[in-house]
Amino acid sequence: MIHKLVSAPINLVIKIAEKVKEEADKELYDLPTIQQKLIQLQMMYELGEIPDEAYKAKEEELILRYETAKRMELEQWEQMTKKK
Amino acid sequence: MGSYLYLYGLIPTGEAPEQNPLPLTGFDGSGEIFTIPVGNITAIVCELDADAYSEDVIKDKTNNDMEWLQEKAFHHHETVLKLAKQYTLIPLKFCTLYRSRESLEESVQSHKENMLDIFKLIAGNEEWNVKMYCDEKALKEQVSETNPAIEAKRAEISELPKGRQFFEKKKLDKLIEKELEEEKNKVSERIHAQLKEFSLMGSVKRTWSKDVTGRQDNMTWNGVYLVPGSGVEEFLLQIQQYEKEMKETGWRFEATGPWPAYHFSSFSK
Repeated sequence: MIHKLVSAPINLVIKIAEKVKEEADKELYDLPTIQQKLIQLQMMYELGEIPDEAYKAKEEELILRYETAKRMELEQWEQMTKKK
Repeated sequence: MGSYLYLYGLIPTGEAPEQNPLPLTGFDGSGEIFTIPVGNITAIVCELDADAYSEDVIKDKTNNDMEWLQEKAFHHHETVLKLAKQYTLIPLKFCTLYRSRESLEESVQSHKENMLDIFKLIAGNEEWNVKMYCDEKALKEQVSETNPAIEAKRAEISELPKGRQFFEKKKLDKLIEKELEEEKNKVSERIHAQLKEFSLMGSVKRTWSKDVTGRQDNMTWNGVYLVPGSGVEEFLLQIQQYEKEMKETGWRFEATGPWPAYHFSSFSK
């Protein structure tokens, strides 16, 4: 099983923000947006509105997206520092 | 062909927006979200086609169409979240539908007193969720080294002949497990009690299994708290303080919020 985001060092306190970004690419690869979705998903599960299976599947998808986004961010950072 | 009303939440009419419909998109992805005043209480709803969103269709979709369920559940919660940022909101459960405006009005009327009490309770306050996790290995080491009952047992074993030590050590392991459980509960309950002092109300939710959290450590506590808006900073600082003080002994904290008052706005008593 892939490791979950919550095991990664994330903020101790996560503030819920409104979803501000609607554009498809940002929606897909924006780290705060993905994190917001993950904690919203947690609440849906907490409220018993989605079953285990749906929770796990969506969480896995979001974590994969989070990891991709993180990798993209790292690559961008490396490119920027190389230029300097 | 008729239509249903999908209810997102209820707000005090005194706070109701002048703009109607609201600048939000409805559950079907195209309709409008609008308000229906019922005396002092205003419902925030959207209209849905009765055939496309009949009880049977919704039941079938929620059970068999995971994509649909996820998409719609996100829509519901994101909408409720936006509303809760602007108004004193009683959030409704996902997929709360009424057959007609009359049945919605009737339902609001019949719970009116409770709803008004809830508005008073939640106005200006925030719901926060706090999950506590414990690395049992780290805590076990600590318990094993500092617990007086375990220390006494260990001293007792060292005095015994070698043959008996084996069985007594097994008993000691059991004692350590028991003390570990007690320590986890004691610490979690103490922190819950302390967090409640910062809150108007606090309530305990079931903990999640490792299978669901996917974490190495165990969720030992899952609590929700209704915190006065003016006290949120202090509440969060307290949690940060716990994290700082207890990290070494294997404890982790996760606070999320502010949530709509999901756990403090049940009006059907």
